[in-house]
Amino acid sequence: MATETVKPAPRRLSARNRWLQSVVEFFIESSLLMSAMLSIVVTFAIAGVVCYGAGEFFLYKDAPGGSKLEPMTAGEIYDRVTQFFTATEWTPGFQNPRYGIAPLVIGTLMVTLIAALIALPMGLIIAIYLSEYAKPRVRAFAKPTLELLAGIPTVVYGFFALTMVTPFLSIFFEANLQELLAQPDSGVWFGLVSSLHHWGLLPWFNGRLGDPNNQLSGGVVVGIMVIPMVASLSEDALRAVPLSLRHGAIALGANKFETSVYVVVPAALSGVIASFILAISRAVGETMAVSLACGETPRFPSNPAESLTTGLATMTSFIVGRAKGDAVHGNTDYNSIFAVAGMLFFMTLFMNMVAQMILKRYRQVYQ
Amino acid sequence: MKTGRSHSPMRAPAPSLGQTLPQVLVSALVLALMLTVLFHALQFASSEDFDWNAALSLRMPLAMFAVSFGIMLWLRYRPLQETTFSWIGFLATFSGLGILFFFFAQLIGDSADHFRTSALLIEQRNAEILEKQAKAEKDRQNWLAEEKRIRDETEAEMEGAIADEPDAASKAAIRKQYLEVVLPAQLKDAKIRAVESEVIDVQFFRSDTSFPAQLWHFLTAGASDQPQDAAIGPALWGSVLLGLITIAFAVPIGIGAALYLEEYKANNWLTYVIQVNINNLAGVPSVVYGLLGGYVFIDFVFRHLHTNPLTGVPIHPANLVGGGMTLALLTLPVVIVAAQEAIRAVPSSIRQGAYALGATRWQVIWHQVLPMSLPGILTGTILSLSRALGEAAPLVMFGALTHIDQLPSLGGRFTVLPLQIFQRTTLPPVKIGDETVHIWRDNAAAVSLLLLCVLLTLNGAAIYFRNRYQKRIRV
Repeated sequence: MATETVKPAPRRLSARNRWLQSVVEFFIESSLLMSAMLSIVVTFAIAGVVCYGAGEFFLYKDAPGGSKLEPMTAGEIYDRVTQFFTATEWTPGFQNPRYGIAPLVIGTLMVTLIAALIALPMGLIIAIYLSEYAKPRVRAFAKPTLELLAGIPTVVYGFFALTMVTPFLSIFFEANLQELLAQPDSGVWFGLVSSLHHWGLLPWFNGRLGDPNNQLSGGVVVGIMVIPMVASLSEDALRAVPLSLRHGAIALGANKFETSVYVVVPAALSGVIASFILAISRAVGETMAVSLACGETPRFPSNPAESLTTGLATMTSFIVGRAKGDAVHGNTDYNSIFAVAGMLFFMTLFMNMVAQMILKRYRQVYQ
Repeated sequence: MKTGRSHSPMRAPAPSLGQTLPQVLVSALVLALMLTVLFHALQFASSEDFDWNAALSLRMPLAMFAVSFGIMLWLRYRPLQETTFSWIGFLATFSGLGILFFFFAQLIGDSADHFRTSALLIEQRNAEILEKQAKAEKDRQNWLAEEKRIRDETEAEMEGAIADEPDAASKAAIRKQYLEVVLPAQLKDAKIRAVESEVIDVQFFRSDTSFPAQLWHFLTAGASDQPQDAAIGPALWGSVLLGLITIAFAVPIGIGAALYLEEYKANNWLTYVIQVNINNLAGVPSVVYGLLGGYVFIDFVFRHLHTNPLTGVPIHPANLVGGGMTLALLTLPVVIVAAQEAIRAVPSSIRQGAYALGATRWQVIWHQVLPMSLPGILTGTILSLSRALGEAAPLVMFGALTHIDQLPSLGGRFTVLPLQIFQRTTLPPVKIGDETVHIWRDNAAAVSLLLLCVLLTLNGAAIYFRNRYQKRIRV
């Protein structure tokens, strides 16, 4: 008892210090609120910038002989708007420039279609496998690998499209195959291709794949890029389904495949659909890979096969291609970037909001 | 008790293979025919001359039948689905790994090709330079000999003229005239020809073509028109600085926003709107961020700031700090979401204990929540850094260059590694000897390899941190 020391009573803050502390707290909370509000500010800023530029595009035309813009009459504005949405040429450099967005939309559509055909089934299969079938060790190895695949920058995917995917896909086309076989012998690949051709297994298509720019390799590469996103989002949705549903299905006599496909996936359908929509919106907004793979020239295809084998510019690759030139800043040609970017922004915004809404509203709440 | 249909306790036995096979064959045949007709119709619509011979051959229908038989059998015969789906899933998952492996192999092969070919080109150019030097030396020797000859001839002439003169004064005058007028005039004609042959591009001489020396040159020198000299020093520096500026802007703002959304949230409409906004911003294409950054930072913030107020160095509107801020806006949603998850994972018992001891809200955050959530925030930082290092599209819109010779500074124009890849991939191949070599593409492959190694290391570190952190929190 004698060796124990008495601890001093804890000091209390004086009223002034407590008031100071509350003032400091208020300022800290305000600054945190401002950081959080920055996201709203950014959204409005993007919408503002894009609408301002698009407004300039739709409301002004080039003054003759100069670099200024002059306002258009109502009839001309109407013409420009209808031309934007319905014309099938994008020719800013001609004597009579036409700005029709249909070529760019077709380009985006083709790339997105091919990417969706590749990524959505593949991603769903991977998600089902990882959530239902894979042993924990395999899963622990596969998930980081998928995320590594998601970490490759898109310019590198574009590089692969030019150097690996296009030469690989071109062996299925007759004209490219003939050209390849006419060259002197050059190694393992040549031997493989020539023997497949000799056995009649190649080519599959009669036409010619555009080299180096074509939509097909752009779509393939964007699909590969998007697979990890579909897989991880769908897998999260599938794992959120409670075990009781799975056990109930197995109790009724279903095997593992049947429970996965007929019970678990429908239960997680909102998450799976939302992941599909998010992946498609990512494919729509993809820039560098399609810019390298599909080129930057807006062109309207004249037949269905040409829409896949030639290099049509997408909305994003057109924007990058036009801004890369860095030539003139104030004229209609430059303002058309904002119009296209505006359409792109609102499209992806709409798709993202639909996906969020599906996730929130249709997610089944399990007790 | 109402009795409905009586359910047998056992399920009906699954149909055997013999029962499903006729169905499968028929449906496979139908599907194959439909696909073949569709395929030929597409070809007919696509080209002017339609190859009827190829259309009627059996190759395509047989291939389609094989494929559709496999698909139909798989769809109809459930035991097959059961046994094969795990294999299919395994192959699907690890084909991603295979793709990564192939990409890497291609990149390594192309980079090795690049260094090999540029060694050849450098040695070729070295040989040319040495040849020119030898020729110049020979010319100089010739000129020296010529000069000596002119001097001797002039001297002999002079001696001859002097010998005819009677007195010393006129001898001296003649000597003076020869030395000051005639000799320099004659030398001047010869000198012009000699000086011309001495101008050589010695600066392009690179003596060391071994791989380490080439690698060092690749990492430190600037861009150039010659593919063997094109290096990425400024791009590397620009990428590093840009990444640092991005996380310097994005991480504090991101942590602040996440703290507000998680700790101070009042569950009112404002936090809901902010949350929805963050989720939407995560899906906006990166080109649009480039347009935003170009407009806000170039035209608005940096328009009137022409020189640095501290150092007086001129500032270009499309500078590195502006680019960093643009990328910070781009990666802000990533940081916010990662920080939110990290802060949410802190157990509420810790917070409640701190509140019970009388701490204010900020004290709880600063002393308890933030230290515990720091590893998760670090993961978000690394993810945002790796995203920012790989972005090229917003920087193209922002005004970054692709060809820079000296290292960039914070206020000047800059370039980054992905932009170099983008530019060099599209350059045409070069003829060396009699073969066409895609040397610019190989150069881009080397840059891509460097970028990929850096990014995969960063992402791997982030994933590793996240896994370790999740194991720790799971108490």
